[in-house]
Parts: sequence; structure tokens; C-alpha cells
Amino acid sequence: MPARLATQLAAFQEALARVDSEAALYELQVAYLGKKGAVTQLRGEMGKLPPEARKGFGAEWNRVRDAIEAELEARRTYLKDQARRLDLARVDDLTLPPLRPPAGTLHPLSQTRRRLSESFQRLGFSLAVGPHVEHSKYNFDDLNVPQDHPARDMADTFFIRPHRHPGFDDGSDNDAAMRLRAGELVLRTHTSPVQVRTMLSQKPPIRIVALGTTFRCDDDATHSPMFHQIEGLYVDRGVTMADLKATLMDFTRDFYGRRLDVRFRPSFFPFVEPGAEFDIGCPFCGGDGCNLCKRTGYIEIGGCGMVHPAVFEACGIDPEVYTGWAFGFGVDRMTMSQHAVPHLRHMFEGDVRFLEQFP
Amino acid sequence: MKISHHWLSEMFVEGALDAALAAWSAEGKAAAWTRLLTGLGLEVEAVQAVGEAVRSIVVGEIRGKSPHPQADKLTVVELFDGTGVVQVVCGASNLPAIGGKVAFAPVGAVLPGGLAIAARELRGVASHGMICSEAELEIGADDGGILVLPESWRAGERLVDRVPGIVDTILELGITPNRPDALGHLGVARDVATKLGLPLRPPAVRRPDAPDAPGLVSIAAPDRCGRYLGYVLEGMSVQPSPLWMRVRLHRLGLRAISNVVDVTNFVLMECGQPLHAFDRDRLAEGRVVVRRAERDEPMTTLDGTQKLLTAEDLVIADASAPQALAGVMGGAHSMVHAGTHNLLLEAAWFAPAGIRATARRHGYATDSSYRFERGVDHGVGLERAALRALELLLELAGGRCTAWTDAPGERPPAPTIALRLPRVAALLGVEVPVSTARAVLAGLEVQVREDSPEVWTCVAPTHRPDLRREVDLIEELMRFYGLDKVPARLTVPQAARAAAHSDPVTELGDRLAEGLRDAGLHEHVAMAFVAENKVEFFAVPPERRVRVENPMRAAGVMRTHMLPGLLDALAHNVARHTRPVRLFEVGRIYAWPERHVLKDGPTAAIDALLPLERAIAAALIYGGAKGGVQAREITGAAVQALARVGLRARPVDPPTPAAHLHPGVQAALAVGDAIVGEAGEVHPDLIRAWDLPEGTRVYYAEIAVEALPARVTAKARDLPRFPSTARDLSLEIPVTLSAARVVAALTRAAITCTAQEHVELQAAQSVGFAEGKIAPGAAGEVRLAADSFGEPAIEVLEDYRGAGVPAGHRALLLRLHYAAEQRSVTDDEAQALHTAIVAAACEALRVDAPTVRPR
Ligand SMILES: [Zn+2]
Repeated sequence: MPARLATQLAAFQEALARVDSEAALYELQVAYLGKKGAVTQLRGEMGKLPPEARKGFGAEWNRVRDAIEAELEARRTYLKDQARRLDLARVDDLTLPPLRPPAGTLHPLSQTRRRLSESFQRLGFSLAVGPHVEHSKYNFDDLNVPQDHPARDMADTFFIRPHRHPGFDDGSDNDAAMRLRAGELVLRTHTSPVQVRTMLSQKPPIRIVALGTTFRCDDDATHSPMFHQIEGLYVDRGVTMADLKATLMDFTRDFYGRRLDVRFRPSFFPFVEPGAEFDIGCPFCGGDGCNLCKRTGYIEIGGCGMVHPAVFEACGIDPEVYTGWAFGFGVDRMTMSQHAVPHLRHMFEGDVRFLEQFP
Repeated sequence: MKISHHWLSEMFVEGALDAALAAWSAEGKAAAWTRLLTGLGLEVEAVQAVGEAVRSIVVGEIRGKSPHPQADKLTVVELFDGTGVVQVVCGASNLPAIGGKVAFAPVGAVLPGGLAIAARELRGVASHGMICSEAELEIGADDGGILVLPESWRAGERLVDRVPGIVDTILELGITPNRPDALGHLGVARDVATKLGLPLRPPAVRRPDAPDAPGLVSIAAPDRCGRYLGYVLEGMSVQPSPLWMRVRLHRLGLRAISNVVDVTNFVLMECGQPLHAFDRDRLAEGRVVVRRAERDEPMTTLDGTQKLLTAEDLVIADASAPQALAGVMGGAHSMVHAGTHNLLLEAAWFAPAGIRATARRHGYATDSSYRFERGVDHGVGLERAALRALELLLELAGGRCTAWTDAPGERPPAPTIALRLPRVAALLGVEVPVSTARAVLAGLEVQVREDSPEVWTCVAPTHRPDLRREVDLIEELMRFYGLDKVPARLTVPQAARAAAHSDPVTELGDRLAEGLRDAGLHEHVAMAFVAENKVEFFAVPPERRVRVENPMRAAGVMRTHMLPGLLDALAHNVARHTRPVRLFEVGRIYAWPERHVLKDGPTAAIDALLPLERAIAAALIYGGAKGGVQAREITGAAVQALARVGLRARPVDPPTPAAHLHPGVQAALAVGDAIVGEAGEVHPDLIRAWDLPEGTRVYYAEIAVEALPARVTAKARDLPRFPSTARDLSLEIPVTLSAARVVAALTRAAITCTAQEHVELQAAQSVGFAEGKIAPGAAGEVRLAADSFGEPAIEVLEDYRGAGVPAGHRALLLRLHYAAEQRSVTDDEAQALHTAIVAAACEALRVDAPTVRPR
């Protein structure tokens, strides 16, 4: 091998051993095999050689170039491999506490209300709403609870202090409206006035649920003066108590994920006749008996019955043509048993340590 | 209502009830009663077996008494227990004389309270057993001394053999207001008899052999008193009742008083009929008048309180003055006392609504008013109750009935009800067999005329005022046939099911709640009423506040704002831990309108009387003891919530500042040109008012749910094909000039500097703010770029205050993006437009803030 070729090859090999990055490797490649590279330039000198020596030199030069290229490639592979190994040696502990945006929660009451509302919408019930401050006509009278009737004692009522009616926007002062009497306006004691409002406003078939805040003067470990109710109403031709039972069973299947037994016990609510309390098979033990159902296999849910003809008459619906059923129950107690909430007061205190437990 | 099993069994042939109950169910007395009565709508709330421990108590006879050598208050008694004489030490002061009879618990007995009697020494003297008080035996309330028994009883006799029903089962029933008849044993027994198919055999009564004395009673208010039975009894002797009577009343929670009073209470519990006994010698002219009171007529009731009556109160007066508040409470003057000899016994029917109004007006709730306001029997049952009392009075207090009368008033008519049998199945979805229907109506004493197989004409008995129309009878049939026989079967085709829909405001509120939850807030539910002092900070004046007449927890005002509830919760948290508090609530606020809005529709007339209720979504953020919350997190939460309902909101200068927020840290929330909410730091005065630590920074935002449009569906915009070019701008402005105003001015300037016709300008004059929508420009024209929502691409990068900026000023770093349709923008054209926009914007801003300048 010509001495100059050998020298360059040796110099290359010495430099190659020091190369520790792909960038340096590229620089080295340029320094030896680039347009003005040291080895490339030696090829230019071939012309100065005697013709008989050219062939031999050319072959040698090719060998040296191939050798350099092969070593460059080998080094490149080696460096890539090194880099990959290094990258794979990294450790980042993903069992450290996850970084997440601050987690908010919906109130357990809201969660239950939404689930109830979705369940009943799937069963074909529309959502109906009404005011919290209600007229006693809708809260009592039209629901067959006349003034001076003991049934009014069934709900301890919050009364709204009479207000001097300011008159109407058109400037008129309706005389009757100006004479709001004490006891005429109340905080609704149940969601049932929504039944009246709906029956006054639309013709059968009516299939609604009303879900919302209700109020009674009751304040102890198991009663809050503000609580929540859901109420269902179905009015059409041919509606029966059997239909009510089947619908409530359909509801348990949707809400609890399995069809639970529904049991009626005769009871009295002025706006239904016959009236009943209804229990459902305990969703926690499936009816076998547990602490939550006091070993009875049933959980008391609420009241129900066939809409009283007097209610239909007050709402302008002919009870000879239409029949209907209604049911209602408390959302708070259901929520508490679903989530095992130990104290009612937790529900309305707003303690974030409580609220964050319901993701 | 407490019901005694023993008492119920007296309403049947002896032994019949126990046998029938056992035949009906083998599950035991408590379980059988619970299932039977609850199945009839007479809900059994509790069952208690009583008196078992009394079985070991015997009659003891005192044979000797000597003082205890070591203790003044103790007596050593020689007691004969029927077989032998034992020595017992007793501490009572009412020990009878030698030969007297007492209740004796021998060694080995266990008292109801669990005390096991053993032989023991009391201060050195042996005592073999215990002489008991009625309280210790739990058969009476008297714990002031031992129970002294009649001398005629023989030593060694068991108390249980002497006092029938001392061992008993007491049922606690929840009686619904429609069932006044079930407020007595007889009514409950009637249901039981009907259910078990057992003949009812209540104790027999008979009319007194005495002359009618029409002058005894006159009814001057026949509309309020339907019937008044009066009986004169002479030669009575008022004294304590015998033990069986006292035990009977005690078991039902009543206190024994005297034989006369006890008998009226006994009949109340047996028949559900309130009675009243007057001392007839205290009645002027010995007669009564049922009349309305004079206005402000005074009367002292037997509890000693003096009342001024109204002309709507019904009284039982003598010839001169009221002697009883009819159906509510007797009067003090004519009440029965120890020296009473002659009685006038009253059994009457008073109109329910009037009794209820009087009881409420004067603040009474008595056993008597409770029953009268629900409606007692005015027929056979009324006289039956009176005669039962008469019988017992003569038995327990001696004397004789010398006159009586039955004075008529206006009795409520018994409605005739057509019962259409097919209607039963039409309503219930199940057939009740005709034989069952017949038996049930007969058992309930409903008169039935079977006009046809399909229609029966029925007249309800006077003891069931709740049976007024067909459905009431259908309910009775179902009650006895068994509500558990109603099948679960959909009876209406699915046709009506299609159109279930939600409520738009509820829907919006739910979505906002989800947005706030996603912003890391916890949902809170606060009471809708608050204390007056908590609403004083908010803009609703006192006359528009909605007040509760009878508040609890002193919370007498319906909330006018959401902040008090959230601040209460915050204070609750801060008092208990040091963590951050991030809360929200979606709820209603209440206020009387300034003028009522008269609407159309079937409920409009009522709605016009009601206060306004507005739905609000409110959020509160507090960084905890360590702080570290930025004011802008609250606007972030609000904007996020609004994004959830498809709305792009931004904070702008408030049109009028909110007084409950810090004057320098607040904004209004705008969607398009509408203001939908507010946000800011809670005013330091409120922090102080809620006793939060001085300097606590709390941020609040609210969104008026009803102000929002129904859900908006986003429309896609074409993507820009050529890149935009950005130019930064540092603007020195007063701290009081808001970023929103600066951005608005730049937008407006951009609109002026480019072609007007390509811009839809929506001016919101109320806030001095204009929002531009950037429309695609003509091909090739350079303009302010639009962001993905079609709004001007002006970013606010930094709010710098510090070195190099004059006092009262700040440097706002903004970035404006420029673009053109169908080509790239050159640096030169972008710069030219930028320079023009900045100059125009600065000029506009300097009208209000002369110191504005680019840096
Ligand atoms: Zn269970």
C-alpha cells in the first residue's frame, strides 16, 4: 500500500476511536471522504503517477475508501446502539402520585337526582318543574287537602309572610291579587303541586316526573327543614294500580340494575285513593335481609296511589274518562343509604372533606 | 295510638280473637299483628309485650310492723304471703295498717326493670322480698309509695289473677287522618273482625231507666253541634279508680286521675269518643247551652289558662257563662273535683272544621280536639259510647242516672254512593270477588242495596266519615281483599311514551354544574333560607325580601343571593381544617318582583301572586391557609362552565360594580353582547362579617342560568391555508384600565383600519365594548387573523407591574396575529397594519386614559 494511503487510514482509525457522537462521526466522514477530504484528495494524485502504477494505486485507494466507509458504518451502528441503551436505562417512577387537574365532584344528592331523572326519562317520563314558593291552592286545596282539614297536619308547613302586592306590569291592580292572606303562600311541602300545574296546563296523556326541593318545619337528626322529593304522575285512559306496580318494578330494574319486588301497603294521602305506601325489595341484600333493611328484605320508599277524582275535578280532567296514578318519595334518605352517609347534617354543611368523597 | 291486645279481645266472644289470630297466622302474636294491621293500613309501628314480670307478684298481708332499729325511715314488716310469714324491710311511708294488703315480690322474682329480688340484709336486718310500688311494677306512674291493694283480696293470690289484662301486648299504631274510627279499640276491632271473619261482640250497653229532660240541653248553634247527649248522674262519689282501670289507662299512656275522669278517658280509648263530665252543681240552673261565644268572652279552661274567645268559638255554657270550649277542653269552674256529687255527662258531635279552628286559634291540641277534628260518630256509636260510660260510672262511682236527653242539631248527611263493580278492576287492575265485596261491606257496616249485579247502592256508616264516594269504597274492598294481590302489569299501550323531554333550565344547570366540577369545584347544597343579617349585603331591599312566617334556625328570609350559603360553608370548613375550599352550588334565589308580570295560561293568575325565583350557578374558590389561588381561577371556572353549554364567555368591565365584590377585583361575564354573570374577589367587609381571618382572599362567580340561550351547536370554520404572522405589543396603561377594554379598542381599530364591509360588528353599548367577528377578507388583503372561534386573534400574554413602569401603571404585553386569504403575509405588510392599528387604538384609549402609550 502506498505510504500516504496507509498514513491516512491510520490517522482515520485513530480519530474514529475518539468519536462519541453521530455529529462528530459525520464531521470525520467529511474530513476523509468529503469533496475535499484527505482520502478523496489522494485519489486526485493518481494522475501524477506513472501509468503502470495507476492501476495498483487505484485498487489500493478503493480498498482504503471501502474500509473507511465500513468502519464509519460500524461506528454509526455502535453509537446508535449506545444511545438507545442509554435511553432505555432511564427511570421515571409512574407510581408517584399522579398529577391530575384538581378533581371536583357533584353532590351526592345531585347524583341521585340525575340518575332518577335519567331512569324515568328512559321510562318515558318528562321532567316537570314548579316554584318553591307555592300557592296553598296548588299545594293543598286542589290536592284534596282543604283548609281546616287535619290532613294539613301531615306536613308541617312553612308559611310565607304576606307581601303587599305591588300591582301588575300593565299598571292594573287586581283587587283579589292585592289581598294576599296569611297562610295563602307556602314553601311547597311536597312536589305534588307540580302535578296540579301540569294537569291544568296540558291534556292527557300525561307522564311526568317532578324532582326538586321541598320544605317542612322539621329539624332533627333525621329530618331537615329542606329536603328533596321526586314525584311521578301518569294520567291516561286505562291507567290502573297494576300499571303503577309494573312501572315501579321497571324503575327498579333501570335504577338498581335488577328487577326488585314492589310491595304496596294501604295508607292515606289525600290526593290519591286508594292510597298506599310502597316498599321495594332491598337492593343491598336482594331481599335476603341485612342491616339496611332491618332484616325485612324490604326498604320503605314512599307513597303512591290512584289519583283522587277530586284532584282530577280541580284540574279540569274528567275522572270518568281518565284514570291516573301518582307516586312520590324522598331523595335524601335514598341518597344517604346508597352512599352510606352517616349523618343527615353532612349533606348540607358543605364540608369539602365530605363532598370530595363522591367522585 | 296505643292499642291493647287484651282490650281488643274484649270486643269479641271470649277467646275468639286469640284463636282466630293464631289460625290466621302461626308466626306469633307480634308478627301476626304487624302483618295483619299494616296490611289493613293501620300501620304497626311497634309491638311491646308488657306485664310478664308481674306474674310472680302476689298479694301480701301485713301481719306486723316495727321500726327498724338502725334507720328512722325503714320499717320491718311481718308479711303473710299466703303460705307463711316472712320478714321484709320496707322504706315506704304509706304502709297500711295490720291486715292491709300490698303487692309483694318474693325472693326469686324479677321486677320489670330487671331487678332480681334476693334475700339480703338492710342495715343489719334480714329482708326476704320486696313490697312494690306501681311504678316499680310498671303498672302505674305513682312512685311516691307502695301499691296498696283492696283489703278484700286474699294473701297469696297472684296479681295477674286479680287484674285481667295486666299481662298484655301493646300495639303502637300510626293512624292516618282519614280514620278517626281507628282512634279507639272498637274501630280497630271492627277492621280486625272484617278481616278475620269474626263476629264483633262489644260489651253490651243499655239505655238508662230515666226520664227525658229536654230542658237539660239546648243547641243554639245547630250548624256546629250535630247532636248532644246529656245525662244527669246523682249521688256520685269521686275517688281513685280500681287497679284494673288504672293499669288499663297506664298501658295506653294515660295517667289515672279519679274514677269519673278515668271513665271518660277509658271510653275515649275504647270507642274513640271524647266525653266530658261537668260538676252539675257548678252549672247555673244545672243545664247547658251549646252556643257560639261572645266576642272577647272570657273563660278559664281546666288547665288554668284564661282565654278571650271569639265569636267563631263554640262553647258549652250554662245559663250564664261558658263552661267548656266545646270539643277542645273543659272549663275550670265546672270541672269534676273530689267533692263532686252530681254530674252532667256530655257525649256530642261537633263540626270538625270549627273544632280545628278553635284548637289552633287558642293553641290547644287535646285528645278530644284531635278526634273531633277528624270526625267522630254521630250515630249509634255516639250513644253507645255514652251508655258505656254511664255503666262504668255507676259501677265505679255509685249513684244513679236521673234524667237524660238527646238534643238534635244538624248532622252531616250520610252520602248515598253508587258502587259500580266493574269500576274496581278498571281502577285497580284486579277483580275483587263479589262474595268478598259483600262480606267486607257488611263487616264495615256499610248498608248495601244490590240494585243490579253491576251497581250497588251503598250508605256508609256514621263512624266512617271518610267513605264519601265510590273510590273510597273501592279502597275498602282493596284494603281487605289485599293490596298485595294487585299484579304488576302494564295496562296501557306504550303509545304515550314517545315524547319524554327534559326541562331546559334544569338541563342548563346540570351542564354548568358539570363544567364547574371539571374546574375542580365541589358541589354544595345550602339551605334556601338564611338569617336576615346575611342578606343585608346584597342588592335586594328589605321590602322585596321573601320572608318565612314561622322560620327554623332563625333563618327567616328566602335567600336573595347565593353567596351567603357558600360563605357559611366556607366558614364551616375554615373552622375545621386548613385546606383549599372550592365549592359551587346551582340553586334558586328569591325576591318579590318590583311589579308582577301578568302572563297568559291556566296558572297565570296564581303565578302572578308568587315571588320571582331565579336559577343561579355560583362558585367560590379559597386557596386554603397557604393561599396561592389567583383571582383569574374564578373567571376560569366560570368560562369553563359556560363552555360546557357551548358558550364562549369572556370577562369584561362590569356595567355597574357589584357591592359585595372587591371594587378593584371584579368583572362581568359576557357572552356575545349579553351579560350573564359576574366574578370577583369577595368584598373584605363580608370576609369580616363572616368572621373569616383578616386578609382572607375568597373569589366568587355566578351565572344567571335563565339568561343563557338553549344549548348552542358549534359550526365548523375552514382551516387557514397560509400561516399567520405575529406582532407583539407592549402597552403601558393605568392599572384601572382593563385588558378587556384594550382588546376591544384594538379590535375596533382593526375594523376601522381594514375593510368595514368584511366585519360583522356587534356593539355592546352598555359596557362600552365592541366585539368583532372577523369575516374572511378579500383575496390577498392583509387583516387581523381570526381564531378558531372566528374572534380576533389578540392574545394577552403578560400583565407586568414593577421596575420601569410608572406608579399606577402596568405594562400589558399583547400579541396580534395577521393573515391573508390565499397567501402568506410579508413582514412589511404585517408591520404596516400593526402600526396603524396600535396608533388608532391608543388614540381611542387616550380619551379616557391619557397616559396610555406603547413601550
Ligand atoms: Zn337488605
